[in-house]
Amino acid sequence: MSAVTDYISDKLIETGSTRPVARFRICLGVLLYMRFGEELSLHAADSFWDQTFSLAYYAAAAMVTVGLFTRWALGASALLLALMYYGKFWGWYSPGWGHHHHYLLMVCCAVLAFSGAGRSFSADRAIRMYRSLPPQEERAQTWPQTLLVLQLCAIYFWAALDKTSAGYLHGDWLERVFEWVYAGNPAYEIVTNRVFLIAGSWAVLAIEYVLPVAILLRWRLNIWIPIAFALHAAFYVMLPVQTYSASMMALYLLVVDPDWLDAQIDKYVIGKAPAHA
Amino acid sequence: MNRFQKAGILAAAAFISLGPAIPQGFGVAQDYVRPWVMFSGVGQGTMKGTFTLTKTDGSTQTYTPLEIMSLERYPNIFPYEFDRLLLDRDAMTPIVSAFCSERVGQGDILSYAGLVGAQNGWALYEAEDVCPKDEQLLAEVRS
Repeated sequence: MSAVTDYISDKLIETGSTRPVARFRICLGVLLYMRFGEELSLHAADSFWDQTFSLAYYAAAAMVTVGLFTRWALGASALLLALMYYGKFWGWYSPGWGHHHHYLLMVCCAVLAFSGAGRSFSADRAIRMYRSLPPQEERAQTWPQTLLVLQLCAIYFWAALDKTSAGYLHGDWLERVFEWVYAGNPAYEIVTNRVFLIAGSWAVLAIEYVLPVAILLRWRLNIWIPIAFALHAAFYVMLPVQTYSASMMALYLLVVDPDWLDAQIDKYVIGKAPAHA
Repeated sequence: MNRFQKAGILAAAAFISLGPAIPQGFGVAQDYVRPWVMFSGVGQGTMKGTFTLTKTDGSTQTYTPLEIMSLERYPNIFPYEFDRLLLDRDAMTPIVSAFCSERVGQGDILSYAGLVGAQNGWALYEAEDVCPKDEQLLAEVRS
């Protein structure tokens, strides 16, 4: 018991690089536009309230993306997404609001608002340097990052638990999903092939059960992260998942070792030789 | 970090990891706690089977559910927005009423045999003479 409480206490005060949350923040800003940009655009708004909301949403998403007044922008984005997510309580609702991908964007904004996501790759940092002020250290407490990784794992576990049934393992669950999505489509015969349905169902369930364990124990991530990406890519191509797959893939920026990722970016993207070379 | 901040973070961690147990484990629908049940409702009420139209002269003709609804594909909308899903027995009327008024003559019988999308996959479903008998309803559809 003491070991558990010590572990939790350490996690609560642990500090680390702010680059993972900053990278994720940039992805999140883009995802906010991807998901609601079109329906919340000014031309789609037909009342003063809708237009005000539209401008606020666009401003907040832009500030999240570039990292300007980052914490406030993330908090404002979370609030605006919450107004939409819970909008049905006051009669403000559009199809798709209240879905799981919407909730995920909202939670990511809310948790990230408490992180050091504005300390790296941000306008906040650039402005301080432009004013000849010392930039904030690129380190902060990592508990917001830990919470989001926990969210990633919780999604896999509870989604797998929901699917665990004889009907799912026989491929029937997936088949009825494909009936809605693919009936009348040229690919219908392929995706409703019984072997494909059963193999796909078992594979998805196994991967969704293993991923949270692999992520939390950091077990063979070099294998499991590519498998997770393949899973989400398949979802994205085959099903109308909105921003769900992209959000889940972006969350892996919080899982990979930031120093390793920095070294890869330096080496393969920027073309800079590692410091030790 | 003071003890209230620590308690808040731990509460958030518990909510994130164990919260879905409320709607999923105990079946208590709760708007403030997110279940992670993606696509569990997609395809419920869709039909995978055959409609058979039996004419008064004994000849038969078969149709797919999409043909009965005069659709090439299900529309690219959220499934719960589609008003022609067989989620209960009364839901057959909006699915077949247009076809019945246009293609089913006096004395002809339209029946369905096949599967209907259910919670964990498919449910067998057979129904004889599915056209609505209410002449007023058919007149409304025709108009």
